[in-house]
Amino acid sequence: MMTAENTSNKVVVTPSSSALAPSAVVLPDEILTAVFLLLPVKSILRFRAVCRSWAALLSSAEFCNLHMTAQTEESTTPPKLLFVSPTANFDATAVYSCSLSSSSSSSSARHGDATDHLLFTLPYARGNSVNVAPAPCHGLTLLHDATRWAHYVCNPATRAVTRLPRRDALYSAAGIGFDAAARKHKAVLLSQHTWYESLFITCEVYTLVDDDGGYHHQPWRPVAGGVPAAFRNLAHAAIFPASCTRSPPLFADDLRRCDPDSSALEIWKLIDYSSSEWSLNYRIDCSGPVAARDLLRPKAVTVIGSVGNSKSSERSPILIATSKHKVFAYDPIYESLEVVHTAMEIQGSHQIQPSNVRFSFFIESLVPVYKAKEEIDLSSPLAEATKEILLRLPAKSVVQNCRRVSKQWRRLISSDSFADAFFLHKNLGRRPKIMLVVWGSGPREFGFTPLHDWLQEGPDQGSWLDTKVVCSKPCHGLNLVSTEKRDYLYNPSLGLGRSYTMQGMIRHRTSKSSGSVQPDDHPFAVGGRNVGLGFNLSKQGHVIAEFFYDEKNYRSREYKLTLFLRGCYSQQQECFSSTPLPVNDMPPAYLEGTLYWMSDPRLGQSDSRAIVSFNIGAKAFGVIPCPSSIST
Amino acid sequence: MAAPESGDGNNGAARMVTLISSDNTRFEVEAAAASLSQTLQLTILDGGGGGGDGIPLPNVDSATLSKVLEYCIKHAPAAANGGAPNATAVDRAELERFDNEFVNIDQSVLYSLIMAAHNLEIEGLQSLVAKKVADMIKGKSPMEIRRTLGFPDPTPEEQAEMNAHMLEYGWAYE
Repeated sequence: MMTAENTSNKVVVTPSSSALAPSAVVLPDEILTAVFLLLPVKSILRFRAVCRSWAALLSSAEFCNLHMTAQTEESTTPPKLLFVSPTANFDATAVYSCSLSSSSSSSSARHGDATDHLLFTLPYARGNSVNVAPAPCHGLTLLHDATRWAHYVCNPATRAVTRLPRRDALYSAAGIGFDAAARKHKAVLLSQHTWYESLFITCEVYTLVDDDGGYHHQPWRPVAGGVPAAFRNLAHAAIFPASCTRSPPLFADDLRRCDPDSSALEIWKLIDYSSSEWSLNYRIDCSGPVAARDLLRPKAVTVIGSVGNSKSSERSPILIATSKHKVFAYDPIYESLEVVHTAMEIQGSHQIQPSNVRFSFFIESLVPVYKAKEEIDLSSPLAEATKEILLRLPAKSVVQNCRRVSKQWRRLISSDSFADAFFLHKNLGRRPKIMLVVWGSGPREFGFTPLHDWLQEGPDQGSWLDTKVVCSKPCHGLNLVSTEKRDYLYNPSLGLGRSYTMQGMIRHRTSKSSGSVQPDDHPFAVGGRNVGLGFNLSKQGHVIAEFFYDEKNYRSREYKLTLFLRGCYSQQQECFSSTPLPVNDMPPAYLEGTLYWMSDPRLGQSDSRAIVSFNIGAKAFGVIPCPSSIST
Repeated sequence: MAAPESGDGNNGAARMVTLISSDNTRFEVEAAAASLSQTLQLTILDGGGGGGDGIPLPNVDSATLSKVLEYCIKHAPAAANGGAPNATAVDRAELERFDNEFVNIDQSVLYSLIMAAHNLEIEGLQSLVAKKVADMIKGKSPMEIRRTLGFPDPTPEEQAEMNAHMLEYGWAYE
């Protein structure tokens, strides 16, 4: 009887299991919706493929909202955590989810019952500097790659992720919010610029929309009226920690009191936003050895949420994450603390050093992640075809000429995927190019000439070098050219470079004037120092490493050796004077984040050869013994 | 036994109402049980369904109605307690056991039950069957769903769409 009602928005259902059943039953949308609201996100994503009417229903904004409300209120599913971790060799960043058993049965969670699933990887987020906002905003979570100034927005439940349009600002902090009136997510970026020594704070908003036709030319739009003068100091205070300590902006505040003798963690709650009224909700006793070790020692500690449903939030356990990558549940009723998750169980986490808090809470939701126009354009067939052509041009013409052709080309060329593809295309299965270092023309100190050209065209006498210059092996696309006076970092295929003055160089100059140090006795040493170029995988930046002997006496075997480190794109300089073994004058070899030197058996206590290693990211020395045939 | 005249209204012989299924079978139940249905509640409050009249339910056949009433009779006492603040854990566990048993039925009966619960607006039964259907289909693939629900075979175009979806959301099919 009900088949008569069959209209376009109803689904005809034929129970297959019984011949006695009526031939067809109609399930109205209300009933279907009631059933779908009970399903997890994973099933719903799959069911969008059942038929077009289901797809329309399950993709509608109305259904997504209902589903999120249902999931939040029901809370039958245990809370889930999201965890961010670099992959092996820091060549990408992986995002995992781990489900926690609810606190009542957390004894099982303690024993590693929590299962981790790889949600997605961010292939271009390299290094160890991706942070996550500790709580989602209306279903979406913000990730920030401090190395590349990239912001990603993801829905961990649907595994959808997008990179927000580029906005290169060295000093900036971002957050994500939900505009309830427009029902749209908006990312807000505060950034700080200096212009003729005055400080400017700007605030820009990017709206995540399905079709951003109108926003295309200016994805980040400045807020009307700019940042009010009264907020400038506050904005500065938000940007500074975000940029300098690479900690998540605007969110995490340390719970611990400044008093070093204090052995308690206090959680305060802002009751009324307008009157800034605070109340002390919890006070966690950390006098026990375990709590003291796990909660007071880590660099950062933050509350990421509470387990259990919203109705009993006052009494449900609180989740606290630390920068040692552990999550604790604090039960306010029993005043007990237990580990619910430790990231050390996650694959690939062997290399994670304590850093910032990398956990976030998340709920199951179907909130769509709208891709930015920029990202859609980059994957269009036209962009793909253009890319294939540009890959076949020399680096110099791509950077100098093609970038200026159009906005689209510039965007394509400066995208991460292009840089990767270019590197692969130029270097896969090819022999390395041999270039000669010559005097540069114009403002450049040095130039690079392919050996082949040089042999064919004959030497241009004017460009011949007439001083001693040492060129390092290539390291992540760059070479270091060292002279007695300065070090120069060059990209030989572009001919671009910059210069550095190292500490050892200065010492060498001063000691030379006093005449105490012998001249270089090694063809690869210049300026009395051993210089090498390395790459910090966790920070994704080139590093110059320079060994310098203040004292070296082969007769008494006494020496005084210092290693100076300098980041090529930061002002950071460090020195290490306690090296495990003296090194000889041969410049180091670089491999996967570590530099290797040969020891000098003529100095120190040992007279056998060994390899001295230095892991740049971990700043740790090591000694590798040589095979017996060459060790003495 | 004689029903004592009293003002507290919560005792005495329970008022009975008659429901008539689509195939003209008459069911006599306590008004309290039938009132779990939002649709019937108003009619019953107006004094309908008593005596020889009966309330006709043209959308529900007798087999389904008897099943629905089985649920209502079981749940009526708890509902009368207003969500059972004073119900014991034993009572609740017993209801839960009954519910689990109750929906353990043939698929065709389940569909009739969904429709009846929907038409009669019995909130508890609606969510119970919805939960059952959700559990049934939760782990199924789109093709299995189509087969279970008796959809026609997908057209080549639809099949291509399904394949594309599967490629994009491979993890959701694991």
